[in-house]
Amino acid sequence: MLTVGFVILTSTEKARIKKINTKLIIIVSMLPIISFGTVGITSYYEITGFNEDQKWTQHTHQVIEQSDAIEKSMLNIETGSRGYVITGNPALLEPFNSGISQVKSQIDSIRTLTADNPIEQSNIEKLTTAIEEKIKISSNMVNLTEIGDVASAVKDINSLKGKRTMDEIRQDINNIKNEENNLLIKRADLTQSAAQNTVYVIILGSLIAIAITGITTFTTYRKIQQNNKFERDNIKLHLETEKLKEIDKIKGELSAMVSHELKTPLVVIGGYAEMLREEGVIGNLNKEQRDAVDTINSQVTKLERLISDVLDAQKMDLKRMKYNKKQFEVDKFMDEQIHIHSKIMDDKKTHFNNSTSEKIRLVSDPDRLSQVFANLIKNAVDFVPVNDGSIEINAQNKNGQVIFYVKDNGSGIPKEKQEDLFKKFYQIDSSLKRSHGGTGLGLVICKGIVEALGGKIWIESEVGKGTTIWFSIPANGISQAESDEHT
Amino acid sequence: MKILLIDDNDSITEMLSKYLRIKGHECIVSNDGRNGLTLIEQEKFHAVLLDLAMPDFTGIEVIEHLHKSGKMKNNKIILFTASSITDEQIQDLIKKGAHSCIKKPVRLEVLLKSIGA
Repeated sequence: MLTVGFVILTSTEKARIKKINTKLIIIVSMLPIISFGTVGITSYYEITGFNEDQKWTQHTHQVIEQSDAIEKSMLNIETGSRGYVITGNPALLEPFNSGISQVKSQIDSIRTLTADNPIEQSNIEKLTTAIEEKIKISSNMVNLTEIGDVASAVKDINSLKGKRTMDEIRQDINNIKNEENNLLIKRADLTQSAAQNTVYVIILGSLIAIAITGITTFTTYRKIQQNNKFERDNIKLHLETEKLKEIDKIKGELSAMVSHELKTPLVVIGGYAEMLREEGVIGNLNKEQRDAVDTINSQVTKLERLISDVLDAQKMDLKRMKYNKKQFEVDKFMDEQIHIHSKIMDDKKTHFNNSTSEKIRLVSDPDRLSQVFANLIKNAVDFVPVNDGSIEINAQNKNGQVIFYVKDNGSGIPKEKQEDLFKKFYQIDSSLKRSHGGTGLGLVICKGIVEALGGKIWIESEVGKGTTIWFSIPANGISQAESDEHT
Repeated sequence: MKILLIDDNDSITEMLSKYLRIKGHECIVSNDGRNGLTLIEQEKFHAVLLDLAMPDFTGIEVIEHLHKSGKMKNNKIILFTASSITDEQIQDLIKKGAHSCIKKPVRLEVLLKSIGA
């Protein structure tokens, strides 16, 4: 049989593999892009965050600047009022007045700047109270001086009330500045760690992307190499298959030729032997001559059978065996088998019977099934004892299958040899060859026919107790595999 | 009966013609298809035994010619073959008017029965 141990891919299958490969390559190629994208997005957010931090740093500096400005304004108020009290020079009231007018807007400004920070708001509240107190003290001193009560004003200065308030203000301003400085340090830390993370993300992301790109490139290269090899193998296989097909064709032609060349002389030999044997056709023979011609005739029959066995096996190998399925009655078919083979049974005085008890209809090829019976019966006859042989044939309908058997009371076949029975040119015992003849192809042909008709063949045998060869044929003519195909 | 044998193999025609004559039949032999076809067209035979595998002009060609000229019906043509001709081919030839097919090798008594002699 022509067996090619490889699978030759159809163009559809090749296209499918290519499609899968392309898909895989596209998916894997996306990974570095995704990785780089992640790096980009992370970096973008980190930079945006960095800008935000910068804004907050700037804001803190503004708060600190405003605090300094408030302190400066308060100093102006302090020094202006004191200077006026001591010197009575109204020019010194200028920093006093400007301090008062500026400090109010400065407090508003710092309050707005720190609106989101409750700690600063409470600091500013304290500061405002202290500033109001300080302005009240200083204004009082200035008023006293203006009405000429310098002594009371100096007394106020000496009471150190104003100095204490001023210390309070400084302390409050320091508190505000400290809080801002703390915030500044925290934000700087956050910015630094975020910057660090960005660096890590960039490095890691790039490494992953590079690694994936490397792997993808390598696998793609390997895939392409494999595909090329595949393609080359496929071409090679295709050529080999073509060669094998050619050889098969030659084998087929050769066997047809051989069969023709062998059969023609057989026709002539057989024809003359028959003419000799028939009384009065070309003279009469004595007993010895008749025996000789009978032997020629039986050998011609044997040779004919060998040739047709070889040709059938050949046809089966090349799957050229033709089957003509039709409906027929199995019980009648079984009776015919008895009729066909009755002569050979009589010759060996073998008891031959058909035990079929039911009416069965079957759609299959009766001619080929007859060929199977011929082979099985011929084998059975070869193995049953002379004068005491018994062969039984049977058919029964069971679960959509027609089960046939040919049972003999021959010598039986050892278990270990049963499997090989269906192999080409196999004979149970080479020593049996001479007495039984045959090509060893009979069971191979039976198996080929039964399987081609959708059935199975098997054996039951025990040494000394005989052999039963069973075979099943789907009753509707369609094997399970075929009906699966159709659905 | 008048029987025409068309076969390129001399041994076969010699043996068969001898047998048929012994059996009391008139037997005409043709060793090639073209000559056989001419004989079929000219004379009337009770039966024609036609070998399918012949060089130059095969038995299949003989049938094709007779089929085309509409002369198949007048003849009882029995195909006689040893070649591994397929069942389909045989069915096709029978559809075209061939009477039956005998596969070589064949028993002489079976042959006589087929011819109807």
